[in-house]
Amino acid sequence: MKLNNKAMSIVEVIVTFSMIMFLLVGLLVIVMNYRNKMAVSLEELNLDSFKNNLTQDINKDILTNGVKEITDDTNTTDTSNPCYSLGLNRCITITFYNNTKKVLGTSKVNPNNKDSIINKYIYYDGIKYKLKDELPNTLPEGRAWIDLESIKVVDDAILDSSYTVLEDGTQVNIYTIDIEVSHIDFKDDFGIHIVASTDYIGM
Amino acid sequence: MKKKNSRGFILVETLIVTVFVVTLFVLVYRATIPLMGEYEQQNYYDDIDSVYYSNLFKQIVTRYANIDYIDEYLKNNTYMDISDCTDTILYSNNNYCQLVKNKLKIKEDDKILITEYNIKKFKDEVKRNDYFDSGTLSNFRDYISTVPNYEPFYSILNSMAFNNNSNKSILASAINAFNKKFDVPQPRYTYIGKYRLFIIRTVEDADGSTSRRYSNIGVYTGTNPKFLMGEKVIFNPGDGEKEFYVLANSRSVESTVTLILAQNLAGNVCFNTAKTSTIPTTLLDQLKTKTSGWSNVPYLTNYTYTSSAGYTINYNGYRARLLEENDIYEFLGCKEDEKLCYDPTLAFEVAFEEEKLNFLVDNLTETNGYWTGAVVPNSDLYAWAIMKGKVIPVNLNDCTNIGIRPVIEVEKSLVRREG
Repeated sequence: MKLNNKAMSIVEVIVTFSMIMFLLVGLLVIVMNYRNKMAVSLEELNLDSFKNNLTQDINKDILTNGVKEITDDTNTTDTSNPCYSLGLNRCITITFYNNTKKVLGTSKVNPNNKDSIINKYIYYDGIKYKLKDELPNTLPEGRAWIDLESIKVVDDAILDSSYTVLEDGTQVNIYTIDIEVSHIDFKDDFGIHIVASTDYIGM
Repeated sequence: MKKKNSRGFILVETLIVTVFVVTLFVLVYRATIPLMGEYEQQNYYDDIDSVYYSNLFKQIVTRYANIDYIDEYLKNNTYMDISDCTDTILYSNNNYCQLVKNKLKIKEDDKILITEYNIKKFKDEVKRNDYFDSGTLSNFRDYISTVPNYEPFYSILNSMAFNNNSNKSILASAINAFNKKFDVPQPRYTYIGKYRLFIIRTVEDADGSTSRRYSNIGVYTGTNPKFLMGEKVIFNPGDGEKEFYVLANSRSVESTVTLILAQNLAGNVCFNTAKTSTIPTTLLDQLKTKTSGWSNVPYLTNYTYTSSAGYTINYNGYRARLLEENDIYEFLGCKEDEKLCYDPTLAFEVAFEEEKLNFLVDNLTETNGYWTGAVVPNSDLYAWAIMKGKVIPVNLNDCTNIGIRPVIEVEKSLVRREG
């Protein structure tokens, strides 16, 4: 049998090469896109874990011991109060029914101090729950480090309390702990949002 | 031989193949993208905040909702909308309900639904009823398809300490019968639920947009209040209200709580007048006499205590007992085999290092305390007492500074929290 011994023409080669290049570029774009997504997902996962761990730790104490009182001790002048010496930006003390106390607070962030921004944390019961942020090596002129942060912590409304009186005359206090934690890439709030009532019956 | 067709694809053939391949890709894409959306949506199903919020609202339902009314309603309906805290038939303490709802950021348009614990029927209703595919409930159908009909959340067997296995097996049979009737998958017979509470709320996200959160939690309405060790409570044992501290939540049945009087009932009592390491007869006589008028405290029946020293106290006919080694293990948070924590056989005192144990030494001075029912074995000289913030071996000859502090077990319904 006679073989077809003709090679590809230059046009065929160019067309094939173009198609392969087109496919490769397309694939590269997809891979890069997923690479970015993976990095973003990892960041989201870290923030989710942060929120879940801290929320669970605080709620576990609340459900086990019951909240008797929560006080904002940010500006305490009592030297024996842990909030006095911890150097936190905002600091609240949770007192449980068994009279144990635990401190919750946010770290101080200095707009011009890179370390304070990349190492910010929420403090609870002796543990620093870190919110690792990333900043570029050099600061663009006319900017403050705080302008470049990805993770933002808002603690203005860290503690709110209301009360009501039940039919039997018992006063019930309800405390809301709100620390917002947001990331510029995500719409979700990864903060701590806890509602605790002194009308406690346990789990 | 037939001549081969040496021509390549014609344009039409190429176009057909291209269209076919593109169509295939479009179909795959359309099938995949919604899955990714659903996955993202599931982040909002039973998220951690919503679950804890549901737990708090569950307490409103168990304590202040009209359970009979809910029961009656659910006889003819698969679910009940209990979002309205101003409903005076549904809730007592309406203001508290509303306050909790506000604090949990449950808005007026949001929904709180209650169903039977087994949501099989409710799921059918959700599939049929277009109400569950509109407005606030627009994604509810998707959410409920991810929720199992049954979830274990409450272990009735574990919450009760049974005296013998026959009681346990009777209860297990009853629960098995319940499971058969209500189609509970085996072997989850230890779990029992009455209602399921669903909360659907709209949440403002960090970027100002809104998203809907869905959560559910089981409700067991028969749960007795749980008291905390060291919690001060008021109880009238029969001769007027007195302050007690909670020692343990329950020793025998779920509805009872073990209390210790917040002060000594009698002071300057000898362990026994013989001042020997035998049964504390003097203490027991005093205990029986001083608590004989405590008519609201049931008599202890078949309750005996065997000390590490070998003697047994039979509390038949007593309304109260003395503190014992098991109590000490419990409040120190150690087990009987953890000798480093507390070893009743060695006369070494154990300090209460935790502030939460201060209740044990309330109303005591530096020099007085109260006896437990246990002597230090083989010492012939000491019995265990509570004083100076410690579990301490006290010389049996010391009859001047040590008193009695009765331990009782009473119905939780008769106990009032302080304040």
